[in-house]
Amino acid sequence: MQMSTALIAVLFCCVIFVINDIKVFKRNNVSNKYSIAEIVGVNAVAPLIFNDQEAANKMLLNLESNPSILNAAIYNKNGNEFAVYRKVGEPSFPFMNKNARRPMFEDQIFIVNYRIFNDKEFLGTVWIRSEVTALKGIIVDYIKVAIFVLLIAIFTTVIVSYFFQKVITNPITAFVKKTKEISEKGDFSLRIPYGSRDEIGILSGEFNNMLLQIKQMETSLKEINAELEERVKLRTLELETANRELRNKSEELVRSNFELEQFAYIASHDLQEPLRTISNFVGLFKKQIVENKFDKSVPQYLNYILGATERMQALITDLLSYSRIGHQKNIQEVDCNEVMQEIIKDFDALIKTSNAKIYVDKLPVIKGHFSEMKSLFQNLLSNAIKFRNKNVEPVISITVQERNKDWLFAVKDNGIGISEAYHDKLFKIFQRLHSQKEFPGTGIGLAQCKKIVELHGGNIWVESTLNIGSTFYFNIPKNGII
Amino acid sequence: MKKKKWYIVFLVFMISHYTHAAKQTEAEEYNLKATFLYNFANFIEWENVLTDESFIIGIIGPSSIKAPLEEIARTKTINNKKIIIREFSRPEDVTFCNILFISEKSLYELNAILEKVPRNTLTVTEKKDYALEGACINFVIVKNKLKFETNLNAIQSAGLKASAQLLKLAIIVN
Repeated sequence: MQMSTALIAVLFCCVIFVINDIKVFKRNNVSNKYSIAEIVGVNAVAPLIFNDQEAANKMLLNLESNPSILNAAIYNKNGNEFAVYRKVGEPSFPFMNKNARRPMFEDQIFIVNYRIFNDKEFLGTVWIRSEVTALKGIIVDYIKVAIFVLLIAIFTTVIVSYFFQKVITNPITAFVKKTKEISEKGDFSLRIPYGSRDEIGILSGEFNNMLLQIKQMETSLKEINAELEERVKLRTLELETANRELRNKSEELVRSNFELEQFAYIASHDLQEPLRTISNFVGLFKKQIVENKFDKSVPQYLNYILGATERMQALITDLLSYSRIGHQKNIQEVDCNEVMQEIIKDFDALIKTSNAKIYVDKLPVIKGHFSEMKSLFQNLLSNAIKFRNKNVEPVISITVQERNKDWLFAVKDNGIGISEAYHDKLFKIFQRLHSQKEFPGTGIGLAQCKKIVELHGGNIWVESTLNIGSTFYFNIPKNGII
Repeated sequence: MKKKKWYIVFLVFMISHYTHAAKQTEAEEYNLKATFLYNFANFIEWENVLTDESFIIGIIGPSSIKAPLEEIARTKTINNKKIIIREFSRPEDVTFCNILFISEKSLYELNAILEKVPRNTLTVTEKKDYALEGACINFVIVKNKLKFETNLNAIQSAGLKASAQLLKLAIIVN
């Protein structure tokens, strides 16, 4: 397509040139004839001065050698014909009336004239009438040349464009193709092949550099993305853990709230009994005072009141110590043997009184709270001693089994046992299976044990047979309090 | 007697007529010759053309060319120089002229005149074969037209140069 545009341009130029050349040719023709007229005129001065018409005519006859001249004449200053010439076969031409100023053109024939002067004296006019010869021939020649030029142009264009294609267009096309490929596939590891050291080569090299950078950016972007994802995962995990903890804590809170309510209800409920006792007996006492009838049962009344107050005190103390479980923050290394030694010392009187036999294994050192563990063992031991069969000497053993992840403790007694129906209720706070008369107590002990064991991350349960005995099991994880 | 008178009257009339006509033609002829002389000046180159103050045309012998020449001298110049007409009777009297016109009515022989003519003078005559005999230019009538012969040797010896344009129109004699 570019070729045809170029050729049209060349053709256009040729046409312009031809037209111009024809114009120039015509002009040259005119000026040529004018020069001839001038020469004739100059040479006609003498003949005109000396009135030698013969000489003038002879001079005009020389114009025969110029075949394009059809007619010529010399007119003297009066406008009369002095000398005349006409080409063979050409009719005579009357120049007289023509305007002697400009050359005139009619078709292919034109007329020029020259005014003859000798020293400012006007002598006459030379007229020449000629045709523009061989114009057709000239045009044909021009067209021949134009066609020739055109052919050369076509030929050269073909060769040059072929050459340019090889050196310029092809590399560029390959370049473009490759960039398309890269952008379509999105593969920035492709490279543009190049070999030349010219501008295309430099461009290809720089382009490849750019691709390399893009590739690197892509890689680092991927890495950053991966890192980001990792971080997001971590954060999500953390978030999940925190959430879980939160949920746990809130569950705990709910539980503890519930416990608290129960606690408050049962506490007030259990506290009411001694308070009722006190108020009753105080009322009776008051009645006696008012009626002034003191009876033998007054000291008994006071005993009942004292008993009630003692019971209230014990209840409140136990409640307090129950509520205090888990408030100590620091985890210690607790040597359970030490704990047992202290307890046995404390219970010295009780043991002697009950004639209890206590067998203790070598106990481990656990991670936990000392006073809580002491309370735990204390409660279990005291229960074991307390809930003994009549006329049976309590035999109590405290054993431990090392397991993979925890220690399994067992406190075994030969006491009265617990029926299966009550195994669940056992560890609930203030649940008493016996009346105060049978076995005094606040009913908090086992609940406390459960709380302590759970605080240390373990569980407590019982295996028991009525009238045979009970074994209280609890496990303490090795890795301490969660 | 009457017949003879008529003849005489007729004759006289004819003669006078012809004489008048002849006189008219003669005037025309010398007008033309005077013009030619004036025009010769444009086609001849004299040696001292730059230093001369005036252009001198001399006439030796009585001639009818005098009147038209004087007319020309009154109104025109040659190369911006004033034209002066001189008359001479005898060859010894001749002083320098650019052009010396030797009238046919001159009584002297051409050679006698030419001897006394100074150098650089264009001698113009009007008698048959006078160019051959040494005049630079000689007027002749050819087919009722005024023409002139030129003697190139004479022109050259006089130290004059004649334009080719002039020579083209002239009848070259040697």
